[in-house]
Amino acid sequence: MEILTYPFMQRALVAALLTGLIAPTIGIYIVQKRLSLLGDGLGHVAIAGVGLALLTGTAPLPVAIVVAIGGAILIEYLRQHQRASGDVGLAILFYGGLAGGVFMSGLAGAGGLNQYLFGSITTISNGDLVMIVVLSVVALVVSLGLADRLFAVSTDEEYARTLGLPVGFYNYLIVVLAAVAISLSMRTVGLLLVSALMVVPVAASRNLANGFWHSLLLAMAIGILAAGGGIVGSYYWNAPPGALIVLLAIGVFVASLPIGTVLTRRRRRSRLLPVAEEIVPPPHQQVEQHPHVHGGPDCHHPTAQHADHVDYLHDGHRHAMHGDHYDEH
Amino acid sequence: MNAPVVSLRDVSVGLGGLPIVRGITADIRPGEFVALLGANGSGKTTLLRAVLGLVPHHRGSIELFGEPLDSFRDWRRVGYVPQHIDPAMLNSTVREVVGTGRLPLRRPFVPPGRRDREAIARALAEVDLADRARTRISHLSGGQRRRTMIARALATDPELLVMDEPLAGVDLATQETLAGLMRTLTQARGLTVLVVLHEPGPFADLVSRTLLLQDGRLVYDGAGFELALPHEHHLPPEHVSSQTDWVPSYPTSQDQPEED
Repeated sequence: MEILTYPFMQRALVAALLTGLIAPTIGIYIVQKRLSLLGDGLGHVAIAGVGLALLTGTAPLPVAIVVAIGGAILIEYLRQHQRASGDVGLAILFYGGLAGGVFMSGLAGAGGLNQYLFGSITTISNGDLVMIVVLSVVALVVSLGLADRLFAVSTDEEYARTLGLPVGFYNYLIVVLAAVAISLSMRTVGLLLVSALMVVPVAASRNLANGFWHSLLLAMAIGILAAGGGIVGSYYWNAPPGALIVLLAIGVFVASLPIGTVLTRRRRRSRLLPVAEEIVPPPHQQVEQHPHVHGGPDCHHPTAQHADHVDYLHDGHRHAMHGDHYDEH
Repeated sequence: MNAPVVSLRDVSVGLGGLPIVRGITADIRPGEFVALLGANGSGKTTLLRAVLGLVPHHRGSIELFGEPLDSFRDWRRVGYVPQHIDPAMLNSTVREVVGTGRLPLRRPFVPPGRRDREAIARALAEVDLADRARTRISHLSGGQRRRTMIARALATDPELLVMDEPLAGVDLATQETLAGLMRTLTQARGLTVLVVLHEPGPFADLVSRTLLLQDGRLVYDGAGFELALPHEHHLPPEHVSSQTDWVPSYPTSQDQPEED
């Protein structure tokens, strides 16, 4: 473990473990709301923030956070207020973010945009680390402290409204938290791949876990594992950490598929109890004798259309002709 | 005590510029079991959604427990049972979903307490799902999902239960199970119920009052179903017989497949 003696590795590991922890805590709501690509888009918007910072010579992390939060609020506003054209609006915002970021960093003459796109373990400063730790703790407290409410809003928005919850506010909160988590991950996973760290651990844990809380905790564990493993691996292989982190998370996801199938089968078997609502079709009941033919001129029984045939009503029951006899229905 | 739970005064609702509900006036009093009947497109679900504040009403006034809807904040007194399960909750357990019903009674950042756990356990027992608390929604049958939605509404300890077509898409045996459940519940909890129904089915005996909508207008307001029934236009054709009587539903369900 001599790699832990290097200060840059210590900073990188702390930053990576925190982002591995936070990304799934917010990602779980993004996945539930079926906005899995939102993280990608916010990453692109944050790239514009990095470009702006490089151009103006300021610290990239705070600028990226502010720009990403602004983008998140704009995206959520578009989603809530003009659903029809929201899709194209989002696409333009995302492309604009990436193009603007690349253009501005080019203007600045800085060639270092790559390290923000795929992460770089050697570039995390002490100032970055302080900011990452403080904002991670805040994001974690908010997302876990309000987990019940965010769960209600992201699983059944309409019902949450009838509970009197401020649904609009929580929807904004989810995307703002996502913007913060994404910006904090730019040094470790990188802005182009960070979305995977929000989505893949959640997808893997949903295959394995039973219920929301179970899968939230498991996703956090998978996130930490992938982030930590990716940082250590990138030291030995000299590869961008983001790529390794994401590949590790996808590895866990692939492994979760067969394991999840076995777990589900086992859970189902342990619950194979008689179900009250299971309907046994009535036996083929025949009437022994019948004085007249239904539908004939001497028939006065009321009728009811029943699927593909006509039922005749008498003596408090329905029956229908079936070949040479009558079936009770 | 006898103040109306829901008070509608000349309520009109439009969706996309089209008038859907036109000038409805009615009061629902404590303990009533009110069925909102009507054909598809008659405005019954839209009226229900307006009562819950999910769609804005353009004219008239809606009051809940004597408070205008705009300033009504006491949502724990209202339990809502929607018709459909949001697919986003399929991975959650029954207990987690039912637990969201406690949110109006809980503060943010405070974990659920003993009273919350008791209310959830009681609601689960009332709908006979106590042994499924840790089961995922995706593993439940259609009837069990419907009962989960009812338990979620009950966890709030509501005074008014608002249900949107609880009988739609479940087989007849399940419909009768739900009717039996509702009979016990309304008595045990003294609930006021507002329920949108496409056809009365096994709920017919429970209903103390029927509001019949036609083209967004209230065309009948009275006791039970018997008087409303001559308006046979709201009954699906397979249930209209040569008699004018209601054809009783039979507990054979082979003709009504379970949903999902």
